[in-house]
Amino acid sequence: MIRYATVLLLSMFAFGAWAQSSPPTHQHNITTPNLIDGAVHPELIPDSVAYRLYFVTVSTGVNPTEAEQTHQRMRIVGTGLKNTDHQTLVSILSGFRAKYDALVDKYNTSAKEAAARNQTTDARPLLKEIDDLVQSTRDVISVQLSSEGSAKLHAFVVSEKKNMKMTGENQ
Amino acid sequence: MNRVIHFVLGSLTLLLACSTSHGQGCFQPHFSIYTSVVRDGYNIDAAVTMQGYTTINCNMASATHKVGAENVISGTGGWTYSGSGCPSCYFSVTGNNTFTGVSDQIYNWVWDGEATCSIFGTFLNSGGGGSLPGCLVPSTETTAVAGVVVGNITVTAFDQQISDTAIDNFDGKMIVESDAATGTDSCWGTWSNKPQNTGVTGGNWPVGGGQVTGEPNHWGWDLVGWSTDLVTYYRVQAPAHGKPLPCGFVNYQALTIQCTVAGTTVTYTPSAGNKLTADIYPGYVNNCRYDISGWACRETPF
Repeated sequence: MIRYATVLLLSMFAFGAWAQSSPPTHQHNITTPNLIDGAVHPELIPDSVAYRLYFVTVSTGVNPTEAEQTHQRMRIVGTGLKNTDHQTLVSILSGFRAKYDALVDKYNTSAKEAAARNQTTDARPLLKEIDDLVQSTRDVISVQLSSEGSAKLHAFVVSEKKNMKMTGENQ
Repeated sequence: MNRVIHFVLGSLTLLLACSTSHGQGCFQPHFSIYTSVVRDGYNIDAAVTMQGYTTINCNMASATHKVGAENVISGTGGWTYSGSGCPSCYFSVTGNNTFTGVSDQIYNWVWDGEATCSIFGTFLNSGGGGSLPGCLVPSTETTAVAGVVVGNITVTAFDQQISDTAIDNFDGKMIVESDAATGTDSCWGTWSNKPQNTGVTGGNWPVGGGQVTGEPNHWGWDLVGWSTDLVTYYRVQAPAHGKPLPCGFVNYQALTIQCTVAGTTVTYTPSAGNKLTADIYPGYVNNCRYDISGWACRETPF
């Protein structure tokens, strides 16, 4: 029994030393096991996530550079919107991005303060606020774009799920 | 023997405890990645967006996290990183890359999204890539009604015009259609002795040639509609089997354009495809073609 305890104790030290001495490694090609691939299961990518990713990718910040405007123009042309709908969407996306950045900044400020106090932060309220923002932006799109443009944009975003991946929980 | 078992079990317990403190038990990532490629003429624009956050269940006060998006076309481009922030902060980053291709060239595209911890290194990584042919690709396409098909007046002929920002000449290139998605046929029933119309026929058209010869950057005609025989058939059979008129089909058409590289093509329609519809009414048919940049319909009495 004493020998067993000694072996167990030594093994604890050994693994403790291994854990302590293992340097932080750059674990490339680590893939989270429950990553949902929209190319395989587009039905598992919620519309709210697809729209959020699309809005964030296509929108620009305040005073976008010429290059950013070019990227945005090409991406919106790719959806097939007519010129009037195109201009309307640019304006809507600008409003979305300002609100999105403000929400994220506000959350990150509180998360940093909590981390300094050695506390964790619950991100779920932020996710709810972002989901609400995405939905209200979709509502504005459905009102301000032509019905054809709104339908075309929806078909485009949904079909883009094949180019999206997400972890499985709390998105 | 028991001691050996106890030793192994004890070791496993310790090992699991260590991995829990460093892995998902300590922090659980919630991220999403989006990649997209759009084209305009010879320009290829690729974007990689990575966003999300990490749930923290342990003391990581000294750690910082950041996310990165890699977007490299033929060796140009690289990583775009967010700023470093607290472990439970929300991150969002987009890497854009615009590349001007040359015909006959194939370019390698590499993308990646990762989330990195200053203590534990990369804890989420997902990448991929593919080949991007250098090719002249239209960014817009409009459609117009050219007329009806002689001898089959319930079918509408549509004439398309393609273009890009640089107003390039696409004449001579071949346009080929395929299905972007499976369509629907509301006329068809199990009683029907006709095939369901849920896909395009797979036509191909030379730009500026065939029925649109003399019209630069036009292609056509794209024929949409039920044949007169089928209109007559479904007008009787659909209501007789409980399907009231109008009934019709919806097809989703993907279009590719031929590059100069032998056998290489690029799809230029949005991933949802062009929507082609044909509806049978009691006294007429209505055929529509919803294109990248517009739409046109033809109502024909029959």
